[in-house]
Amino acid sequence: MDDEALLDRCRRGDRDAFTPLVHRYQDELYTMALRLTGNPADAADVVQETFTRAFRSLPKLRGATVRAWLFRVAVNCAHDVHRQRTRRPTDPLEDEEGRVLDLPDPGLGPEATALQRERADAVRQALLTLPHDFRVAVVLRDVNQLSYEEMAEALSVPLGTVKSRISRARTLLAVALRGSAAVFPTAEEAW
Amino acid sequence: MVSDHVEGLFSAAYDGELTGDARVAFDRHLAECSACAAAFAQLTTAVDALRELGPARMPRPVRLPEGAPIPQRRLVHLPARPSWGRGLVAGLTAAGMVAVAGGIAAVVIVTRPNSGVVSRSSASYAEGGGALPAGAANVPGVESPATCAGGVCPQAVTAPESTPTPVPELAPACPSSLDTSAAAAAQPPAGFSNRITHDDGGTTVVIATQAASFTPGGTVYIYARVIDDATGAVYVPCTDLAGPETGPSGGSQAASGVHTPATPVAGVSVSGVPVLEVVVPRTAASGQIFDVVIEGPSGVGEVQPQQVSLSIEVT
Repeated sequence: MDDEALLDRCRRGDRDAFTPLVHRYQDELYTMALRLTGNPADAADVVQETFTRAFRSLPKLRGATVRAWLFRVAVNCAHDVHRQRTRRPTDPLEDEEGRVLDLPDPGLGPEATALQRERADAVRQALLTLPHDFRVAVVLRDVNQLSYEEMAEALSVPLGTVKSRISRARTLLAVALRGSAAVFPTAEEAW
Repeated sequence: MVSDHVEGLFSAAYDGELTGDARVAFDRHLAECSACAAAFAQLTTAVDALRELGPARMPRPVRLPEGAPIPQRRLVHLPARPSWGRGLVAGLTAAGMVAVAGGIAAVVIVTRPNSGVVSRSSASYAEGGGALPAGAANVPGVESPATCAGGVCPQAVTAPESTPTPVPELAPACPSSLDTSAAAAAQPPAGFSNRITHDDGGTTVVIATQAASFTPGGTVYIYARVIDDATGAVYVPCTDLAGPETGPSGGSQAASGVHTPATPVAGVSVSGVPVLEVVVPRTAASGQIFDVVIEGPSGVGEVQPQQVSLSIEVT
């Protein structure tokens, strides 16, 4: 059943119709929130709050796709969390219950696994240095792979603004990673 | 040295958006310019590394509120107000209702049976601008003081549900037009972090509050704007605080009961244009949900107003 059909059932007060939407989008939203906040517990809170708000408001949704709208709510929630909390980032590989979230490639040896993890850590840290709007742009585009149009809908900004934010964000990300030997093994020679 | 122009093409090139002659010219330039080629390679590597992070899994189950999703509501009991169509845009413009700092709008507080919702009396607002309400200074981007536009603050009225008091068309209560750009109006100030933007294809509605949760008796500052997409005209819309939500059937009843328009202009503005405010009922209980509701806009000729709302929670 597609999103619109489920939404129609939600509008008629059908609680069961909401659950498939949760299952369909919770991981996508969690991934986005994790990259935006850098903190698994905060990211899980963002997803919880997103669906709580959605449960109350989604039946009233008009003129937007469910997916884009959920991303919009999640971005706002992530922004709230970012503003309200100064939690020290925990190890992004584990959630608060200690379960591994970003599994390393089992085909890699110990050294390659360590390098991969170092590279991922560098990217995560670089992401957190980006201004919020740019971080959102690059995460939606390059982590969640939203189209330009979906991003415009999710962020309520014109298409041109979406493209310029992505462009600026990628440039800032590259700048932030300049010193990372894990990402640019020949960084010293290149820069 | 990488020129801004070429750097501005990197992202589009990465996404494959540069095609035809533009792509040929871009590739030709990179072949001739080692600095640009290196910079593009670094951007590509950085973005590739980001994409390699891959997906994560939500580590705990999502808990949904009790009851059923709240069905869409219709504000069938609200007092008659000017329609939100483009005709109103023209009408207001023709009537010379020029946007001014501290323009007038109204917060309508909906009192439902059993809801216990109360409103802040307009009498607390001094004509010509009073003291800054406590807490306003905590809202970034909010300035003070401002005055009620035209020196007249709308008076609170009570309209029984069965006999709604019509608001005269073009009355200075709401909506009021603003002389500001659509682009500026679409972006709430930084302090208004709890926000929603809804575009029905013809009109954009922006609602924002400084937080998503409030204590009983707390003041909710509301940034509310309606933008006519076609003309770029901007309004402060008629805004309600409805609630609390009472469950599956509560939504449909949220707009019933007494409607008490109150003065939104409390000597507070954002860049010279008004902020609405409403006080969360002191009787509100933790966990209750209220909705900041914008009535309208609807397209020309539509009978039922479209409703846009932003939820806040009582803590």
